[in-house]
Amino acid sequence: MSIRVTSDPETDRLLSLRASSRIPLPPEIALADPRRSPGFFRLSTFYDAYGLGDHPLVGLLKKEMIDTMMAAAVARSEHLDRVAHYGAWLGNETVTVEDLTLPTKDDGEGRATRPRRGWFPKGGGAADAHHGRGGTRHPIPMCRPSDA
Amino acid sequence: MSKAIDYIREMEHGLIIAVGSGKQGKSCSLHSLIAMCWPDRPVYMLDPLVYDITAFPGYRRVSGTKEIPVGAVTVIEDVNRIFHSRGSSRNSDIQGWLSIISHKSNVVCVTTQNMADTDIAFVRSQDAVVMNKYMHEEDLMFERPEFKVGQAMANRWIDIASSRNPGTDRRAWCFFPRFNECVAIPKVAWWTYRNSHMLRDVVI
Repeated sequence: MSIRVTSDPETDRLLSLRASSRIPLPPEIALADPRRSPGFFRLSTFYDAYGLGDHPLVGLLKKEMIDTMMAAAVARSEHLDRVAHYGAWLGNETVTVEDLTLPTKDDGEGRATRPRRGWFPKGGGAADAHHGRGGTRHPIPMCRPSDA
Repeated sequence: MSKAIDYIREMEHGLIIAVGSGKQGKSCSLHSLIAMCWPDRPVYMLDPLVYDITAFPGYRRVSGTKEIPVGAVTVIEDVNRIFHSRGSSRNSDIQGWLSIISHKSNVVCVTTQNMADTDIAFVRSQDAVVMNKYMHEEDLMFERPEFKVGQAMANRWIDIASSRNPGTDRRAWCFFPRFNECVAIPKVAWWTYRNSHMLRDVVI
């Protein structure tokens, strides 16, 4: 038994990048219903061949198709993996990276030197302060993981 | 400072769920987070198994939820060992306990290797902050659908953060989906091989 797979160089390039988990797929691949994506790429290739790929009306048509595919994909649980991948892609602009292991200007020797506050549950009734960590009452020094 | 850490520091009650594949630094980051956010709160390890916890300075071990006092932080390592996944459908103890942690000002911190292995009661009743560590692709395939997007983002951002910060241990990076933050949590000074292999001598 043999299986024939139709592809194009751009799709191959994107899929190989996806395999290396470095670059996310664009929405037309990440979210497309597999039955609709060949139509999208055929249309795209057709307009490109006639030099109309950048025409605003063609752009509008492509956007409409992508929006429809996205809406269909989000509603279908079997596409969840691709939706998850698209979620990772959307996160590009909004995720903050904070390395708390690095010393800051405020605490030259690391975060552990920050002043520590006592803690009491609202309304009282706290656990015995001599139980558990409460019994130690000493600041706990931190170190960079690489120091271990 | 991080929004996620600031929020956790102010939590009087709630849940912290550290999820990720084995040996990605879940326990280390969780205990370091506890030391960083609540240095003055008593910490109790909830586990029916008997093992040596002297490697955890100041911690106490309890075998039942009744022994946990008001205001304490409770740590449950590999939560599915103690509260089986889907267990709350047969036994309501876990739901009963979790529903009153807000009254008792308890924070419950759990580690788990996959949310699919974790009883969903843990994320149904209280303020639950999920802390994702790296999860291998194969494990991610079996993650609960509700948590897949967050975990996929975590994997991607842990990759990015560790490549941008080569001096920081990859296992220090944690992703908080609720805050869209990837944070490297400094390891608590007493963390050693003994801590990360605390159950080595336990026979199950």
